[in-house]
Amino acid sequence: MPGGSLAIIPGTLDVLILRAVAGTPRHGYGIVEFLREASNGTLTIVEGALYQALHRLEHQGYLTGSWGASENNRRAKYYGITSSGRRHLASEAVAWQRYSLAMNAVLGFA
Amino acid sequence: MSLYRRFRLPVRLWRELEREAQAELEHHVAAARDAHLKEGKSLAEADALAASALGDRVRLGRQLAFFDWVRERRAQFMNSASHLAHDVGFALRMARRRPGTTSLLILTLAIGVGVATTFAGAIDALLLRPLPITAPDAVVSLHRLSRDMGDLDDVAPATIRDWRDRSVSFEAIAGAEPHSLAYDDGSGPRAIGTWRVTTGFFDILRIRPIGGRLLEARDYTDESEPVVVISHRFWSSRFGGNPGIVGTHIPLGDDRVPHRVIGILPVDFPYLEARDLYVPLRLAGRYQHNRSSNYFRGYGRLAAGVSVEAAELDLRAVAAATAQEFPESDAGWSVAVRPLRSSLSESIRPGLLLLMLASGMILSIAVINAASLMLAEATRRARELAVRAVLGAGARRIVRQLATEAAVLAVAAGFAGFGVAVLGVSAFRHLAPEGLPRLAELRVDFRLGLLGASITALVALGVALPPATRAFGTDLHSALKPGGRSGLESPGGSRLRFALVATQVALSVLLLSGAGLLVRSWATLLATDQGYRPTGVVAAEVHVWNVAQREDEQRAFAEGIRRHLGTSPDLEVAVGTMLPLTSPIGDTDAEVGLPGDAARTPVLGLVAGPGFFEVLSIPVKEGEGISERQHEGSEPAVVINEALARTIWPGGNALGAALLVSFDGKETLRRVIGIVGDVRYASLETAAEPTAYLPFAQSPTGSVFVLGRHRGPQAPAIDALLDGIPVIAPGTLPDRVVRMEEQLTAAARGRRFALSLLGTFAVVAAILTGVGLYGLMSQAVQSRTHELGVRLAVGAWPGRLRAMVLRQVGILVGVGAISGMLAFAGLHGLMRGLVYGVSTLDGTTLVAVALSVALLALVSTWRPIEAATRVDPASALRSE
Repeated sequence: MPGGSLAIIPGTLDVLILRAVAGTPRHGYGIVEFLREASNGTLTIVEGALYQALHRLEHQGYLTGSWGASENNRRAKYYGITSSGRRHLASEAVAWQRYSLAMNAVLGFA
Repeated sequence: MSLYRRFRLPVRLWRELEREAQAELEHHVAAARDAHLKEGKSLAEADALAASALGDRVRLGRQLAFFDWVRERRAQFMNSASHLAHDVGFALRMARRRPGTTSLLILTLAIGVGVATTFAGAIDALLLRPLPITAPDAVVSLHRLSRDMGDLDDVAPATIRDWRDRSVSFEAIAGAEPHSLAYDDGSGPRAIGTWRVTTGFFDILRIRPIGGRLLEARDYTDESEPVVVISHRFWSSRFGGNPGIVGTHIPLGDDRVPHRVIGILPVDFPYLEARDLYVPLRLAGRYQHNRSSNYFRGYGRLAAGVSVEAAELDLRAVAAATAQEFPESDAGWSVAVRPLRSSLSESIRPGLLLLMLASGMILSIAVINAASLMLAEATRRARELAVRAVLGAGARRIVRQLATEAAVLAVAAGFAGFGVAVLGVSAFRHLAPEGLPRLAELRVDFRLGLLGASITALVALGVALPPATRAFGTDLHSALKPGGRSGLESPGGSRLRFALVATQVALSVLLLSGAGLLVRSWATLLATDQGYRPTGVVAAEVHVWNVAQREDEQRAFAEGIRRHLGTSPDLEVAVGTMLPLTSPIGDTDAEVGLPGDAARTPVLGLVAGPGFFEVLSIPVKEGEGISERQHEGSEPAVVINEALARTIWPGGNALGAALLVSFDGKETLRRVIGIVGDVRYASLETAAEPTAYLPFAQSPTGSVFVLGRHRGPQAPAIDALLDGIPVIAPGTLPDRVVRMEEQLTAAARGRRFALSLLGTFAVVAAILTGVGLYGLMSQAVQSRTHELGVRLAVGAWPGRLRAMVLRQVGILVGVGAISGMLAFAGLHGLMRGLVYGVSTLDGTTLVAVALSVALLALVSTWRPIEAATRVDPASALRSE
């Protein structure tokens, strides 16, 4: 995609994370990789913010964390989505779509 | 959130969270490094890139752990807060279901808390709190100490000077002389109580005036203008609390010398007897060498680092030196130094501590009642609790529930109790002996609230503990069986209740015994013959030196007074230098001895004019009293009391004998012309000392009491007295007016106070114990319904059942009473200072107490005992 990478818009990190682990549990680095690939390199995350968000989402009950062995046989904490996490993801995704459509509409007219 | 996590200590939790966060970040770095390596970067490059990706890893890890920790702690708190809210709600619901029991409980606890708080506050204010002055422990009172009698006495002005000049342990020493100055506010001159204080007096106390300044060195020079510091009471009553009074002049003294008001003392100034005016006195001139006028109070501030004992030794050395230099006045006398705080409270300390102990006992009794009731409640809910326990609530949860209920109860009682304490404090202040030092410091303030809260917390603990300890013994399975007993109904549980009630009985016995002793003391005191009759006797203290310096003038004054005032049929008048229960005028130390015998016996000596014995109704047992027959020209006479007669002439024959009497610096040979009855001058309780009465005409003085007995109403009599005196001695104002009946009431006030308090405590304790007994026996009978039903069914007489229950009561009360008596035998020494005329182990009292307790037991357990005999066997057997 043309242009450099973009920073995450505040407020959207949560939904991105939830999407990242919706299919399969991932650890922190894995989430970074997924988002970079899925956005074709556009989105880069500040790692500090990522982990803060992960812990917060776990406390809120949207994610569950469990320790396991990573690909290279190291001890890593994997985050998976919960059912309330799925519900949250769904509603936030819908909201985001409506918002972005609205943005496009406004910008389109201007 | 895992259950395990919920109960972990904050520190362990933190360490674990930090470790986890670090591990997570470690993995991130490792994964990033692997990714870089796979892209083909070198090891060093990969490392560097990976490390920089996270930035300050340690800090990030800490941040993550910190927020996790905060979230966790908040969750823990919310969890326990919700538990607490639930428990409190439950407790309130339970309380609402039994309003009668609950309010009774709160009432008894409130009374206990209120009374205990009142006394804790009193002890705090009167005994414990440091005086509200700077470095209070350094302020001491200084006394003359007679070697043999051990009395603490006042000193002479020259002694104050000696101490000041020759001692090294003090920053400042000063004396205060009681005096009076006339002040005319427009309604006629009145004598106002005054303290004449030497330089440095206020420096010792270092208090702050509420207006103006206090006496300073500049007020003690030859050129100083006359100044005065006034008391708070004087300021508010005479000048309406107007601060503008400072700086103005008020005329004081017979010559109406204008004194500038330089300062006003604060309300709390309890260090001396209350007098309204403070003027400077220089220890110069005739004061410099006066070693015999011993009515100065001595005060000092210890130098830094000097102990009370060291200062005492220092002054004793000074006393030893002056005893050598001035043997007539100072030989045989030593010095005592006392911390001001304790010397103020010395007399009341034992009584106050005793009352505190008593109020603690009342509180314990009330708490036991509450705990017993809670035990009973817990028993009633035994099944419910067992079910909850089985469902996983755990003993801990149950304990928390019970503790919350106890706490809710205690908090309610605490608030109500504080209300009781407020009443208690004002009652205490109203009823306490007047002039009790620092009484004004006992007030409803934050400290009192703090005391109340602490006591309430103890109460909560006391009420929660017994049921809680029993709850731990809950045997769940047996509790769930039909007819099962939980730990609360087990023998252990009821043993606990029995022990608690027995303790109540013991405490009641203690209180009843103490109160009984006081009652007997009071009765004995009332029956004691004081030696005089105070009814209708009033007196005025006058000093007529200004108009009667010579002896013949003084005689003329005494005769004139009797003539002028004695003509009134309602008034009988005399003069004398001492009255019972009143501080005497002048010196009362005398010595007597037989002629030819070197031995001297110290006696009480006073001067009395004709009519003295008649006015006070002191009986003349042998010979005659003092009359006009004793005059200047007749043989020197003396009238003695029976005690003196017994001491000197044990076989009788005192009348007509010759006696050497040494009084007021003169020794004369006198003839005993009469023997009068013993009079208790010093106090109601102290036996009469040997007393010698010298006829006024033969030993006149210018400072006397003019006493009169009136038959009509009191006020006009006093007015006649006060008006008549200036007629005979123009320009003389009476210093103080004494009403004998008031003196008696005041003297008995402390004893009456202690009696009414302890008596009330004992009665309250007995009532509470009765309630406890009733509750216990009711529950005991109820829980044995099945057994009793069986007995009745197989044909037992109701009488036998009654006897069975009665025996239980008897054992309980017996054990309690005996323990109480034993405890009393151990503690009886505490009552020593308070009893009069009876031994602290008075048999009559103890028997009376035993009977009262037996009666109490019967009365309170009557209904449950009767209920035991009326059990319906059929339904009892079915009830299981």
